[in-house]
Parts: sequence; structure tokens; C-alpha cells
Amino acid sequence: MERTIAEKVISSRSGMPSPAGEFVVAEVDLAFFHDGNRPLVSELLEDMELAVFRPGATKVVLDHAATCPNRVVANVQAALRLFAERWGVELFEVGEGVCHQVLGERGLIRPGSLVVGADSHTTTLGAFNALATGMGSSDVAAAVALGKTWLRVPETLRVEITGNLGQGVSAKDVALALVGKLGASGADYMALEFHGEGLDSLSLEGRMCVCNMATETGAKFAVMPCDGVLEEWFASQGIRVGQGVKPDPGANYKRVLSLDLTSLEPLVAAPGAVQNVHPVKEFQGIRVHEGVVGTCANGRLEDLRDVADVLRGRRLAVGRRLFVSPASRLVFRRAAEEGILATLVEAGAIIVPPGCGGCSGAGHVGIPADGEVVISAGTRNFPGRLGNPATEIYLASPRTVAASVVSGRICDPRDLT
Amino acid sequence: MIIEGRVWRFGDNITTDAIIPAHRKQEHRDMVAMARFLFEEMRPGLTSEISPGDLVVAGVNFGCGSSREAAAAILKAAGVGGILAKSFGRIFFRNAVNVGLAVLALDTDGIAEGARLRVDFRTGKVQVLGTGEERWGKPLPRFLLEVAEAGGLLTYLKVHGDYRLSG
Repeated sequence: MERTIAEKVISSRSGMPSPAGEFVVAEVDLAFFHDGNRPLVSELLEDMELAVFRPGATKVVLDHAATCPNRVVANVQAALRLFAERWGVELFEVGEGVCHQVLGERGLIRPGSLVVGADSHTTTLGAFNALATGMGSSDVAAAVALGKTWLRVPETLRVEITGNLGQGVSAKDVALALVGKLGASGADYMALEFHGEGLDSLSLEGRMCVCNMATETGAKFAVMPCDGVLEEWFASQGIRVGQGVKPDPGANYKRVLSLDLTSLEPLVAAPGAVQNVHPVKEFQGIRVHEGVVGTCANGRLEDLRDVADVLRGRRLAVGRRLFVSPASRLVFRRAAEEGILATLVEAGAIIVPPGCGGCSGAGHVGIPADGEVVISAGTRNFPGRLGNPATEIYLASPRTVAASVVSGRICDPRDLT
Repeated sequence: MIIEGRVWRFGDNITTDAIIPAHRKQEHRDMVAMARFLFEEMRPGLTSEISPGDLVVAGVNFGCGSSREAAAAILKAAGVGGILAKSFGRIFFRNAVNVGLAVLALDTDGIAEGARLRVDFRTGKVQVLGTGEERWGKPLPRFLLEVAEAGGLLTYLKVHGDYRLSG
């Protein structure tokens, strides 16, 4: 049987042939959750008196409220620490960073593995040639208690990437283009496989961004190949990985989508829905009040370098604010070492602790005032996303965000003088 | 699993943020207490109008966005008996079943706000009461019906000890 990546990984984890469409039970290599969704996985396990099946394959990350805004959240985080200690589960403390970033950069996500996280952006980890997907608290609690989950084996949509990224165009623009082409349910329940020589234009960080935003198309998995880029990264971490998982030449794809990077320009997702993708130029000139760079979409070192590139020698336009949250402590440290943080601070940016602040109102970062416009390198622009429904959020690349807060208006970064 | 109730009608791409915003779901554990925040921006006060067993009917991609299980739990806590939609966001679909809320995918065009339905979630039969109209949806696989009927995934697992796909 000729198989896609998803069919191969799932069949190896289920121990049975797993063609697309089948319902199977599959062993999970890693399960994780954070402090952002109640009921917490740990609360459910405790309520139901279920044990942690494999503590070594379970992780907890305190990322959604890095600065801990109130007593309720403080007690949630305290309860998670107790849970982790009780079961011998590794817990990443506040300030370590966003779960997908931390788990990825620590080399915990391996090619060919099946990973479930209590967060919809778990698809980010597909950049490591893994099958990684988000589920709710009960599903993740079950995976933690049993070491397995049920899945309907997805059909696969193959994305062929060609060309090169032009000046001023970033991985986030690739991600937005993908969501724009597929729409909010164009890849519903499917696995996305990315292939093509255009991938050479995307670093591991860039691939994480694309896989991250892939969840907005309804996709279950978003998988990048185990190619030279990924192999080199693992080697740099002293981690030996095998060939990774490739699809068979005769594998069956539901659809093939072409994405040519050369033809891309800087994009935005206009307020209200991530699929509202348009060239930045269509909104050029709209006044912005606040910019956000960070989150699991774009808080990586390359993203911060892009922002510094734009901000160097410049200042934010009067009355504008820019919140920058490095996606992890490691990114934060490296940005400091490279002088990026100094450049950002000099320009007037506000540096925020590593975590999910700036993504949703729960992060208590940058809640905008009524009538304000935010331009964000984050993941979502749904009404009220940042804690105030009377505002508008545009999604864009870090470079576009930076250009916009410097000019004070939505600005194609290639046009900034 | 047969539910009879009034239709509360929604459109396409209803996000979990619309159902319950992020800052609400982070702090609250008691879904019954949280129920009043259901659709607080889109349809404020909805919870006080819902009678137990009423149905949410929507277009495509209902429940898209975040993985928060609270979105499904709060619908249940507010008294919603089941959800009919053209399609569901995949994580929400799982979460609904996992909290014991029945779901059914079918063409919902023409099912209006205020209509009364009788839905058999096992067979997929939907009757629009008072009109004689009948539609058929694709019912959940038996395993997922059992999970929903058991009251949710973890309750199911406590009873059965494992996933029983073939029943």
C-alpha cells in the first residue's frame, strides 16, 4: 500500500493498516498541556482519579499567563506545579516561553512521532516532520492516562512550494497566503504535507510559522519534510535522527495545491477572520495604535531580527506602542546577545516576558482601547481577541508590523523610507 | 439519543472565541456559573432564553479556532441538547462528544431560528415539527455516540477502561 506521511506514522502507532478514512487507536509519543484552558488536563485527571501513564512522555508548560494577572490564575499555576511534582512530569516554568517553541527548541519533537497538545497551534510542531495536533482537555487527559488516542486517519492535501521569497516578504506571508487560498475550512480534518524546492527558502523557524497558521485552515496535521534544513538543525543540537518520514511515491493525495513564493507580496489578514487575506497595500495608510510581535506564530529569533532591522535608527511613530514577546527564554537571551533588544527598546518597543501575552486577552498584554487598531504578528484576529471587542486586529508579518508602527499606519515594509 | 427543542440559529465559521472568549475560559472552572457568558458578544443574554434540550443550528465550520473544551462545555451547561451544522471545526467536534453533547452534520439551509426540531442523533433523522419536513444527517460512528451518551470521554473511559472502537 502506497502511503502518505500521516498514513505511515499512524499505522506504525496503531499497529494496523491505517488508510485515510479509518478510525484507529494510536499510541501517542508525547502529550502536553498548559495553563490556558480550564478545565485543566490535570484537574480532569484528578476528578476522574486517573493516573499519568507515562510521565516521561507528558509535559506541562506555563505559558498563557507568564506574568500571572490575578489570584485565580496564580492558583491554577500552583496546582499545575503540584501535579507535575506528584507525577514526575516535566514542567516548564513561567518565563520559559510558549509551549510549542519550548518543546521544539529543546529537541523533544522527533521526526515520525505522534504528538498531541491541549492547544490548537500544536500543528506548529509538524515543522519537525512529526504528526502534531491540538485537542481539548478531555482528549489530552485521556492520552495522558492511556498513552493513546483515537483518530480518524486524515486524507492529505499536498502543498508544492516553488520559488524564492522576495525582498520584504516573510514566512508569515507564506502562512497567510496558505490560509487565504484554503479558507477557514479548506483543509478540514486533513493533513497538509509540504514539499518542493521552495522549502529551501524557509528556515526551520519559518516552517514553524507556516505549520502554526495551518490550523486556521481546519487541518489536523501540517508536516514538513525531514530534509537538509531539519537534519542540520538536529545535528547542531547533537541529536541523531534517522531518515524521518517521507510519503511513498504512489501515495494518494486528495488535492495538490501550488504555492509560488516568488509571486508573494507582504500580506495582512483583515479584521475578523484569519482567512481575510489581502495584500498589505490594500490597507496601506490606515492608522494603527498598537503593534504586537510574539506568540507561537512569530516570536522567534528571525522574527525579532526582522523587527530590529526595521526599527534600527528609527523610533515608533508618536502615540504608537509595540509589544515584543520573545517566544522563549532562549530566544530572549540570544536577542539580547545580538543587541536586538537594545535596538527595540531604543526605538520605543516594550519587551514582554516569553509566553502567550499579546495573543489573546487572557495574556493581559496590550489590551487595546475602544476604537483602536492593532497590527499583530500573532495567530488570530477574531473580534475581541485581545480582550476588547471594540477594536480591530490585522495580522501580518513581524516586518510589516514593525514598518506599520514606525510609520504609524499600515505599511508595506518595502515602502518604508 | 433523541432531542426535541427550539432552534437557535447561527451562520458560518462561528469561532470558539465567539462562543466563549479567551479571558473567560482561562479562569473559570464552573461551567454552570460560566454559562451566562455564552456568546456574550454575539448574542448576549442567550443563556437565559435557552430551554434545556434546545438545539444550536449553524452553517459551515462551527466551533473553529481554539481547542478550548470550555466552548463545548458551556453550551452543554447552558442547556443546549445538541448541535446541528453543515460542518464542525475538528477540535470542537471532538470536544462536543467528549463533554456529552450530541452533534450531527447535515445541510442546515432553511432551518430557521425558532423552528422546533426532533432529532434522532443515532439515525441522523431530523424532523421539523409542525411541517412534516424530514432531513437526514450523517450520524456519528457508534463509538462516538457511545462516548456522547456516556456523558463524555472520561466517564466512558472510567466505565470501559479503554477506547472501544468496534463496540
